[in-house]
Amino acid sequence: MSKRLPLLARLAGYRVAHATGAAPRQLPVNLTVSVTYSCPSRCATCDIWQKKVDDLSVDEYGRLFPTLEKVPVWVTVSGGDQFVRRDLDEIVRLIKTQIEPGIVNIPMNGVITERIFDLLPKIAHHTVGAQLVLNLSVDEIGEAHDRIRGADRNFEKLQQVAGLIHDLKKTYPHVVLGVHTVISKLNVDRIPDIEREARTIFRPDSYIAEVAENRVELKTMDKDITPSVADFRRATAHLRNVIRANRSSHPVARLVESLRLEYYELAARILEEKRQVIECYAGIASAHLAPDGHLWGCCIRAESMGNVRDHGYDFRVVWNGAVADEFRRSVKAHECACPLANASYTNLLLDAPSLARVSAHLVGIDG
Amino acid sequence: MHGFVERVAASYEAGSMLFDSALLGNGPQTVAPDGELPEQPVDVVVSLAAPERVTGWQEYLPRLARLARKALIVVARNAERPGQGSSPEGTELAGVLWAAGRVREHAYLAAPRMLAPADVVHAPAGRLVRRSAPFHAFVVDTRPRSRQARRRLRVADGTHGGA
Repeated sequence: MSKRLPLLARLAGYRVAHATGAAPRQLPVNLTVSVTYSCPSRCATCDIWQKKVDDLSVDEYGRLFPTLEKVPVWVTVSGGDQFVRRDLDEIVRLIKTQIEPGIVNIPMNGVITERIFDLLPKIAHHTVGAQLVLNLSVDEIGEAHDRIRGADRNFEKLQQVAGLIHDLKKTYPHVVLGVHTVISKLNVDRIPDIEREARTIFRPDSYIAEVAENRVELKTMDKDITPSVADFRRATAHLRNVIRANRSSHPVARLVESLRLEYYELAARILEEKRQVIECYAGIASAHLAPDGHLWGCCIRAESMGNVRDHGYDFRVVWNGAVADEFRRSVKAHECACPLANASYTNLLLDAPSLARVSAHLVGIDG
Repeated sequence: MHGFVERVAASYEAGSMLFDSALLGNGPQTVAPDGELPEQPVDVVVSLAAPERVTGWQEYLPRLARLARKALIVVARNAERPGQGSSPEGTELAGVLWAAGRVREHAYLAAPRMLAPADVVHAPAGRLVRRSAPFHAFVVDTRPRSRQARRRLRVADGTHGGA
């Protein structure tokens, strides 16, 4: 199917695939491309840096991306620290030219400052025509952030990178600066202060947060990092109030805020009820490509549906395989539940009541 | 336009300047865009309408940037303004400038006063300003782009005093 299919028609197709249990005839609209596990940070909430694999090369991405048939609208380029890769700008260029997404999202820790200063202007240039959302990871303020992230002078470096992004916005209006906080037991009590200070220091277009959770991908299955439901609710209640009081005029930032208003409540309910509160479309509408070519339905379970290296770099072969179908069956049977933000975004758009509320938030008729 | 150039030059404490058009200032050194460039660098280089006036401006502007110890100011026709005709710039100019240094300022110049709050309006500017200003200007900081790079340069120069 071509990308020209309207998004609403595509979403309807995902719903049919989920309802009938049939293999989806469509490729995912929401794709995460993790380009490396390597990372110089030693975060208290993440041990992904311990994983060592043979990362896909630019040439391999160049064979793979065309098989996505330009369907993904939202592509997240994640890590590890993506800026460990000197060829990151070339990977992003391929994503833009071969997938043509509407939004490219890059979460950033800001550690390898010199590389960022070299590559980010090139990445901004390559993504003209899409929206480039650069989310700085800010888990605390000042040295407290450096301690949580296990990286010396990280907060200071983040401020340098934010300055660069603000400069990029002057010549590349498609660049959007976000700040992202992982809410864990280490900072849940300070979220209102962190949010307030981060907005003042970094002047982002949007501020978002996500709960720290146990993920196979991050090797955090044994870490006691997830805050209590009550604490998480308190923190996100503040964030929702702030969003309502300070709606962004930037269209992409406003869309993100509208999704977040719904997501925070959804995440709290999932943590509380430990079940899929709305249907999950991971493996149908969203997917995650690991650095070594394994395709996952989501990074929480990080179960391989197959490796594109074993199938001629054809995404469709893995996506339409029997292992992928088994993953979808398991998700549909509610054998898992999680508040992963990335998948939740597409889940919200595919749940009619949630979509109505997101739309109301977007146009400002939500009271 | 002159005020913008003077303000930027002052902020960079420019002791020496080079212009490629007498329209932008009568500095001690003025060169025609198709003329030979001097070998000695200066603090600030100012260029007018290079994308329209210079064949091979994509190579010309980086040459100017290499001459600028502190900053390159590029004033160009605003391609967003209707009726400007075809312009070779747009995002291509932005890419060339970012490859030459760090673009610290982008401003729209000389928009009609009834549509703009001032002669110089910095990006992001409103639609009326972007569609009416005949020129826009970029300030490219040509000094090493990161603190680490500046520190390395000081070490290489033998002027690094810190631990």
